[in-house]
Amino acid sequence: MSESRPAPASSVATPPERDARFDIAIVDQSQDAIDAARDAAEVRLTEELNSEGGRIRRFIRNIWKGNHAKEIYRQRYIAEAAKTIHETQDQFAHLDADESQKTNARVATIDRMLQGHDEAIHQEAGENREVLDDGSAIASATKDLVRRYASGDLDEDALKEEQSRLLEAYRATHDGVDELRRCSVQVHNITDVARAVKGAVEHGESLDQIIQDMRVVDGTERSGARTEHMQTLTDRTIEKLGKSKLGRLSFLTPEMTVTAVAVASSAVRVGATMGLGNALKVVAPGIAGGVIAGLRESRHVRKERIQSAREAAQGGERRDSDTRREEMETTLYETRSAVDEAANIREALGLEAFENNDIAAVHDVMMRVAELQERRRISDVDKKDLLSFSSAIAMGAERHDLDMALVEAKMALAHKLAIDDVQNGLRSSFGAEPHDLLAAAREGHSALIEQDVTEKDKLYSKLRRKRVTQKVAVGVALGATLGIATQEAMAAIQPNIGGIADNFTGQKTDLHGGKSHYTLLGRMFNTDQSSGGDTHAVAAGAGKFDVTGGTADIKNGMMTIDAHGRTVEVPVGINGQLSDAAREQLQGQGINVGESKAVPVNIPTTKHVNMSPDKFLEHYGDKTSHVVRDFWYDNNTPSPNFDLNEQGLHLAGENGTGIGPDGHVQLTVAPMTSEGSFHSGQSIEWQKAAESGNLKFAISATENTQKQPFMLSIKPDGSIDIPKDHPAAQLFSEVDGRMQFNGAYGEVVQSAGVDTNGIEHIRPLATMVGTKEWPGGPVDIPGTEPGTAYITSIDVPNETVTELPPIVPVPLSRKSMEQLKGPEAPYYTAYERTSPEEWRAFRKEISPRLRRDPQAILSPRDELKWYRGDIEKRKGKEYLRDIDAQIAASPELSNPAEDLRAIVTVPVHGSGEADNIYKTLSLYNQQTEEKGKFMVMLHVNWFDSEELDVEKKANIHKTLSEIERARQDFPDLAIATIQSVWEQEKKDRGEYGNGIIGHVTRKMYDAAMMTVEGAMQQGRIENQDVLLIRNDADAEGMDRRYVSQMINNMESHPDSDVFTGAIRWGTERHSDLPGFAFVSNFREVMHIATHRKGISEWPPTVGINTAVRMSTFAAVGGVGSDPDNTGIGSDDLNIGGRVKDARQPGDGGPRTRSYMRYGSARFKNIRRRLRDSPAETDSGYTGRSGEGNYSYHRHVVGATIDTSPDRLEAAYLDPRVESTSDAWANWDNKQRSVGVAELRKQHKESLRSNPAAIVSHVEADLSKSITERFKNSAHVAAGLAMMLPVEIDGQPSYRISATRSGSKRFEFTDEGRQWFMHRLARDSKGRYDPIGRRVRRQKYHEGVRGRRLATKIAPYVK
Amino acid sequence: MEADKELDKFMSDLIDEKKLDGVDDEIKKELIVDMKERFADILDRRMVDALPDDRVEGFSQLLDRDDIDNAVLQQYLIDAGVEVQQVTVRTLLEFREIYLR
Repeated sequence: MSESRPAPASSVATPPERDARFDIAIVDQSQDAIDAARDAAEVRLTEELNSEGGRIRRFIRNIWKGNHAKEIYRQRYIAEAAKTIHETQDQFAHLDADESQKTNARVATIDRMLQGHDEAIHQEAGENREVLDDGSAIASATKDLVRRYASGDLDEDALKEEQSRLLEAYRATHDGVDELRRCSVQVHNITDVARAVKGAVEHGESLDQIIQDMRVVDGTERSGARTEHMQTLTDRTIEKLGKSKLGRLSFLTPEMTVTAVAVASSAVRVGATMGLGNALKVVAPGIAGGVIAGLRESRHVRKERIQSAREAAQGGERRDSDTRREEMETTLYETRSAVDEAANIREALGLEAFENNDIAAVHDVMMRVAELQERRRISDVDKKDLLSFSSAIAMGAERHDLDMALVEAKMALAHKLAIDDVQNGLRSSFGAEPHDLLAAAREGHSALIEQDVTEKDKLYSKLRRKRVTQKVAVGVALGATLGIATQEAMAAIQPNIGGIADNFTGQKTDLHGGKSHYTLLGRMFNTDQSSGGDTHAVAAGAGKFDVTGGTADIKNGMMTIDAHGRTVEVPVGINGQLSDAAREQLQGQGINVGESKAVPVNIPTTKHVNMSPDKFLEHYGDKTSHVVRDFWYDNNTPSPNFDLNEQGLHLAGENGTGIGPDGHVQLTVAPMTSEGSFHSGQSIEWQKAAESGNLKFAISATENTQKQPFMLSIKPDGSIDIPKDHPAAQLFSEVDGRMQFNGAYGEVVQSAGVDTNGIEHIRPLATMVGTKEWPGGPVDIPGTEPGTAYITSIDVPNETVTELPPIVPVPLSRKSMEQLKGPEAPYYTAYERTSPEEWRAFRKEISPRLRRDPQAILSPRDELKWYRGDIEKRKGKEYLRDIDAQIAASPELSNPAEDLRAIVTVPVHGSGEADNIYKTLSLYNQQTEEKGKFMVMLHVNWFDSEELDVEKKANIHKTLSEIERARQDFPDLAIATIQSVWEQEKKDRGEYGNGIIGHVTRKMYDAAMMTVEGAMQQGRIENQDVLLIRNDADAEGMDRRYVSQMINNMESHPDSDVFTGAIRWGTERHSDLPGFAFVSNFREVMHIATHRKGISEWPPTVGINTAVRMSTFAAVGGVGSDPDNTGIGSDDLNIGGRVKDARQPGDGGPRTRSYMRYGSARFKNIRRRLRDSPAETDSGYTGRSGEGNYSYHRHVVGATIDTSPDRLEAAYLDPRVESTSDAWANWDNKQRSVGVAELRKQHKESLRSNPAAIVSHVEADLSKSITERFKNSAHVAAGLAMMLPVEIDGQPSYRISATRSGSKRFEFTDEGRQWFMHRLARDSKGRYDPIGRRVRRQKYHEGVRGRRLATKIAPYVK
Repeated sequence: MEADKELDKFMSDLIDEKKLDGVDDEIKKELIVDMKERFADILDRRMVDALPDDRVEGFSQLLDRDDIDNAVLQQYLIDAGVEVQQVTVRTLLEFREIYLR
């Protein structure tokens, strides 16, 4: 070995160039931001509608949020999202993206606006860009801000404050709709520029000059999806109404509110009344419900199409089960992937044929340009998404990249079209001028796009019609059913509505407003429609009518019935006879008339006879009295002088005519006075006499019969009433409107009593002298005769009101589209990255053969040679010279074995691996593989600062000594070393990027590949592939076949590029921590399970145990040369990642998307395309293996490494760390095992004394892991199936449930727990044999003690 | 204000009718406030929906005016032929249906 002090590794860490110009861009993203808020609201609503829950819950939720209240919630969610976006000034606030992605997007926006290519500003879509005059308020204020900060007048805090003021002023000048003001978002680089200017000034640049040269660009960005949300005028108006300064419900007067509430409350109690026929009433609610449901569905479908189009444009992928979205996708316009199109057009430009002016190649570029231009134009102008992007956050950058690709293509095309040969070639081949060709191509593509738009619109109309029709049909039926059912339910609790149930119970319905109210069904099935009211009799002669539910009166042969406000009048016979016509008339008015019952009666009769006064008195003798007049109260003035009360008798009745009501004869003595009647010392007070019943009116028919007058009482008020049917009334007749007395005398008399002869003594007070004209005509003489009377029952039913079932919008459960697939969790978050720029940069780092043909079988010699040139180009000659020098200085590297098939590369931290490295090297020495077929290459490295630390310096020396000792002890093992000393100062300045491990491994990999490249160039090694194995320096054990298994797999699987083996984490610790044994194995099993078919997860390449075919690794540019991406993941995950990107570019786009969504619908389409295309299948990389998604990657059985568990174990033991899945969360490139020794002292697991604690610990660890790290449920199921029995005695061994917080919970079932504890503690025969001891015995043959073993030699070496 | 009281009572009756458990007076007050807000959301939409298409723009512009007052708003709706009272009654009933379901 030859040690050489390496040059400082400056060549591997060049800080990124900073743009020297101090231009500022303020870019308004408000429109995109409000769109993002709407997108976020849709996603949230969809998530909630699809969240877990029982069927009934979902049904109710779908009714509530999916129909009635969806709009309410939608607006609320939009408002909430807009608020968050506005407050955070981050339009991506609701996306699951890391800060670096967001920063990339912001930077891309700023750059785009600063660059200002016309092609990159989509004016048709609403974008604009303006370089502000210095005189403008914003430009002036911005420059002033920078100047004050750079000159030290403002500190950091003040800068931020002033910047806020500046942006407020900016917003004030950008009038927008109210909605935008609430979600106003700007991105800018003011702070960055201010700091940069300050730095420049401190380094001597002129502040005045910088400010003078500075440009302030005002831009508006519209990089989001083009399909516009359905924010109609109605929506905006409603929003305004909701936010009106007048307050809520400002359009209602207080009176309106009071009345409306009263009416609504009343309607709730009784329901609405409509004069519809029953049949119509059945249908009407349904129709109304159906129409409403149809209208709603129409609107929903439209929204779903918009949502689908936007989400598809943003790279969303539907779930396989989402049939609604699948159906909707058939109506979406055809899109082109912006990333693919940019890559394709650049690829077309890079073809040799194009460079050589091949007419077909030039024409191909023309066609591509034409299509992209049209696609872009129509997309912007018509607001249609005709381009798709990998994600919402990447849209801006990807759109810009496509624009730039278009610019490049147009420039290249312009150049070509200026060449005569090309012009002539196009003319002769296509028969047209080049510019006409381009115009025609644009027209053609425009027509094709429009055709697609038309077809998809038709499909959409058809789909909408179908869904609306279905909803209307269901709505009609359900509307009627629900309305009727609701009505019956109301009737059941309300006494004033008769429901169908009342027909069976006989329950009568209370009246409401004098009417009987029935439900629709109640009315249809009601056979008893009587009023149920009281009955009263109305006499009709000897007959009668028993009237129920109403009132009746008979007068003059007419019966008048009051039917609840309506009057019905019919003629009736004198004894209750009812003619057929009358009967029909009543029934026609809804009055029920019973059969008339005939009853034999004595019918009163009146005989009209002529008789003499004597006969008359004889006939009415019982109403007369025999009288004698004791004297007259003549007031002592004899006749004919009548005075005082003698003149006090007068006609009364109507206007003093004597005519009273009903033909009564009425008189009065009220004018008499108390003292107006006396005679010779006798006097009488008429009132007192009346009150005592002694004042009477004596009517004498004739002079001759004046001893037998009719005697009538005079009431105390002096009134005299002679009923019409009184015999005395026949002595009066109406003459000229006045009653005329035709008898002899009518006297007001005092009755002085009846003497013993029966003679009543009377004393007249006043006398009316009649005409004394006895009528002599017929006199009515009443009597009776036998006859028939009729009794008829009449029922006046209450007015029946059939209530219309409530017409409410039909609450149809509506299945929403499902959520889009969420991003699948990457294994190492640190590996998430990339922008389109990186993707493009990566494409440039791939060898031309691989770029042309991702499935190419690569020549190691060609690729390594190309890589050598690439290293020189990208990393510089100095770097390559350093590598070459290190190789030359190493005998192992400069003279590798002829049959070399693998180089095991191991980064060795000089001060950290002193105690490990010898052991690690011993493991390779014990490998079964021939020593000449592989070598171990160590990159020993340390920081110069560590040399100042005595202990670390000693460790570095020890490491080197241990390596040397190994060389001595293992002479057959080729151990090569290269060394690097890193500069602490550079690290402190951040010039090594985000970690040193990237630099360490890049140099190591490059040295390994250049070793082989050199050997091939020198002819010492054939053009055969060599495997680059990446391991770590702290291995504790290893399968003794490790290297041979790796090499064998490389040789036997030429279609695979990447190989990984299993990792065991510190099996020596498993005796003390059996639970840890399980969780650490679970981690590895999950990695292995990624290779299972149907598991769409990316298999990581972990540095502890990864290998890659050197030809492929060279062709993908190793792990890259990004000076900033040098931390964790850049050294190992990049191996598999870059190979995948290069080998399977069909997945397209940025790598993050590729990794996270591998196995996506889009990927499957590409696979399908490859599969369906024979030509591609034959040569297709994917087609070569025909296996799982990652056919370039192979898991190698028997290539297991038992590694130091420190970091994982610390995470397991540390109570502050929830799970081993967090073990690398705080990676900081420092000591990994901080605290593990102390933790080990504190924590130990006991299978005997506290097995429950182990179970709990394992359950908690797995719960966290499957919540945050392994999110793919199919993947988890596959992994657990490799560790636990799926069922035990028919019972599952575990359950996974979702908690309210959204996390997942892993729990053993009782059976599973029992099985698990048994497996940890006992062997398959039930003997106590704890897992730690068992594994060590099986793998290392420790503690064998007479047991029979499966192998004679321990599988692992240690 | 009587109108507010009436609306409160309507909502209060709804809550009673729903027979929710554990609703004390304090909670009920909060519920009423929330329900009135929801009702207002629905009514806003129903009222705008009831406007003839060619009158929506005018209504929208009206809401932008600084000198707007309740009477102008009310009159606009009436002039546009919106049966404000009827729409309100129907919306109250619709809200009731929604709430009780």
